[in-house]
Amino acid sequence: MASNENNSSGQAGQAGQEDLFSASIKAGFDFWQTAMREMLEITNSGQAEYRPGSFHPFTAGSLQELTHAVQETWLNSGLLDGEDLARGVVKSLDNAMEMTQNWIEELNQLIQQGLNGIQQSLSEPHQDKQTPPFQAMIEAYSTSMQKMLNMPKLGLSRGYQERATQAINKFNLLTTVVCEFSLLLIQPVQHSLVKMQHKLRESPESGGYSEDVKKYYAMWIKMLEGGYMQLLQSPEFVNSFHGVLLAYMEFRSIYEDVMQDALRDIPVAKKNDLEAVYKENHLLKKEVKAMSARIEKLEKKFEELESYKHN
Amino acid sequence: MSGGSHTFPLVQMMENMKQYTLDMNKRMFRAREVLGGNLETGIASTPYEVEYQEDRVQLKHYQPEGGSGYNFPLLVVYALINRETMLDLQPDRSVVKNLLDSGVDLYMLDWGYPTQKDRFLGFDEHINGYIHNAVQYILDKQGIEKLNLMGICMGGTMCAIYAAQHPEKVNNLVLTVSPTDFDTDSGLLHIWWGNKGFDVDRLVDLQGNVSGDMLNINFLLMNPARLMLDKYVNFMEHMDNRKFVENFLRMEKWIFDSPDVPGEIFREFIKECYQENKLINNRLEVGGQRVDLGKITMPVLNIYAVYDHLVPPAACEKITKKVGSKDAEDFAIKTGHIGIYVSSKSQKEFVPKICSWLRQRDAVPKKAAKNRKSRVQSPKRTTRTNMSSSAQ
Repeated sequence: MASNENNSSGQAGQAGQEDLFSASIKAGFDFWQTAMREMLEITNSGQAEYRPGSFHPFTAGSLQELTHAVQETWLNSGLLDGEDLARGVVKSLDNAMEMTQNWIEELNQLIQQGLNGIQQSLSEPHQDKQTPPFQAMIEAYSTSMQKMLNMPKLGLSRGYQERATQAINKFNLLTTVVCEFSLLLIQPVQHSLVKMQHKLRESPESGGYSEDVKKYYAMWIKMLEGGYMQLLQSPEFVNSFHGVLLAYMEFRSIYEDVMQDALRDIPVAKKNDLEAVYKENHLLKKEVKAMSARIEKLEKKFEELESYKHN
Repeated sequence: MSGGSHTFPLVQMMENMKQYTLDMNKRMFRAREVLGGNLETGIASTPYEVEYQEDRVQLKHYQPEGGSGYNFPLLVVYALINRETMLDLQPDRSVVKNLLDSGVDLYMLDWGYPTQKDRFLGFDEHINGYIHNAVQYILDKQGIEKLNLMGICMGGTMCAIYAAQHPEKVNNLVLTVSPTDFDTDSGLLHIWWGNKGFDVDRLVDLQGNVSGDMLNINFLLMNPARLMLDKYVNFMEHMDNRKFVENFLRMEKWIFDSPDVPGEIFREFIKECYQENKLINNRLEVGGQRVDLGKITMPVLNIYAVYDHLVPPAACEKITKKVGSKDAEDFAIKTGHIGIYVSSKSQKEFVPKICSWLRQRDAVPKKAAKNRKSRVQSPKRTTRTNMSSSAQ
């Protein structure tokens, strides 16, 4: 019974939608007919007057007519009051809201994981070996947001969409590795401050405190320098540094593709075009130089032959 | 901290801080006049003539006032990283001026500012192209067969390659803080760039030329505590001292005047030298020719800095044992990579050593002397430039 009701209401809904579609088409045709008629009348009576920045009266009037006609059609169809459509709309809204909420929650989790990592790293600077603070965040990102960005794109603009979402994806990854790298760079500051505290605590036993603030600054900067020297040579830093470079290059590459897409319709030369010219120029120059050298050699030989002939 | 208090002298320290802040305030007030006044921060103020130009590359000629005191002119080839203006940073600390005062007829290559159209230029185009053409220009102009060649940092690496491939053109070779052996972990650049994790192919394919700013970030990262913090703290403490400020600004101007490096030569330098260490092992090929250091048969003076963090001694020392010359000398100066050219202490060691070493090897073979007379040409003058400028 329920399924029958659903079927019949579904069929009614479908019929209603068809009516609505027909009515919209009719309204559209009416609009163009009226517009053409008005335009002909204006042209014939010589009333046409162009005012920059404003709609021509006939166009403005006709647009109003069209909007009105479409509104009327929708309202009179009674479809907006129909149970199926209303339920459908509500359901879609619910789904959209749920999806958005999920993404927001996942994003929150991502941010929280990142913040936890930072906090852990800052509060335990003395620990040499700890899990990379952003690792959890990167993993969470790869299972949530990245998946969404990597979803296959469809249609005519597929390529553009793919490049745009990849640019967002690579930017997110770059931001993450830059944060991780920055955190690594802050570590010597943390270490040196902790060391400085120890040093101050030990001062009474090792000769007492100094009243000169500059001495403490000099001591700290030396510790900081030492800390950096140690960090900058470590495989951890080198890997992170190369990771930043790689992420930057990946982002830059896709970003340039997006920019080239954006420049397609603007009459300016793109990077690829210019590079092709540079390459050609370089090869031509090489060829010209090689030819000049050959000509010079030939000229010398020719001169030798000439002098041989004269002698 | 002997002689200090055994309880934390908080009150006294606060008093010191107060005094320090008051002093700083006074200093700031005086600094307003210095910083807002006419500061003389021009660099590279020694006059020269641009005698030859090819693309972006210029050959500068500095003539000693009293005429040349040597039989062979000296061509200085700077690195492609930063600019040769460092050799003439300020009148009282100028390698150029010191060389001229010693009677050296000095030529210097100015690599200019590469643009993207230069991205495909590698070792071959720079060494067998620009350097070779500049050398040939000088030889033709002076009617001589050889000249003295001096390389700075990466410029020295290129000079060593040139001397190996064109030994007949080089009378004496002077290398200064020039990396030639890259198989070392004693410098951060060797650790960062020598690591195969550094994907230079990708970087160059993507960027074309390697940006000077990017390289500068690299160099600043080598000692963040001193280069990004302490240096400016020091500046704040002396900013009411006009002379200090002028010298500081000159150095600052030079450091951040960083042309991009042509992509291809950067790729070759990193891959073939830093990552595969081909030069010192005679495996490097430039222009289709293997670079055999054994062919460097002219006298070689190899100067390096003991405290060099960019090109550590370990990266410089080996070349004198690898060249074919029996007259090869290492000379170490207790200073850093830049200090060797600009510190007041090394001014007394660096140029005097080069000049005395060159003078001892300045004899002209009889045959060459005969040729010389018959081949002298008048110089082609183009422009006379004085780059002196003021911060205003």
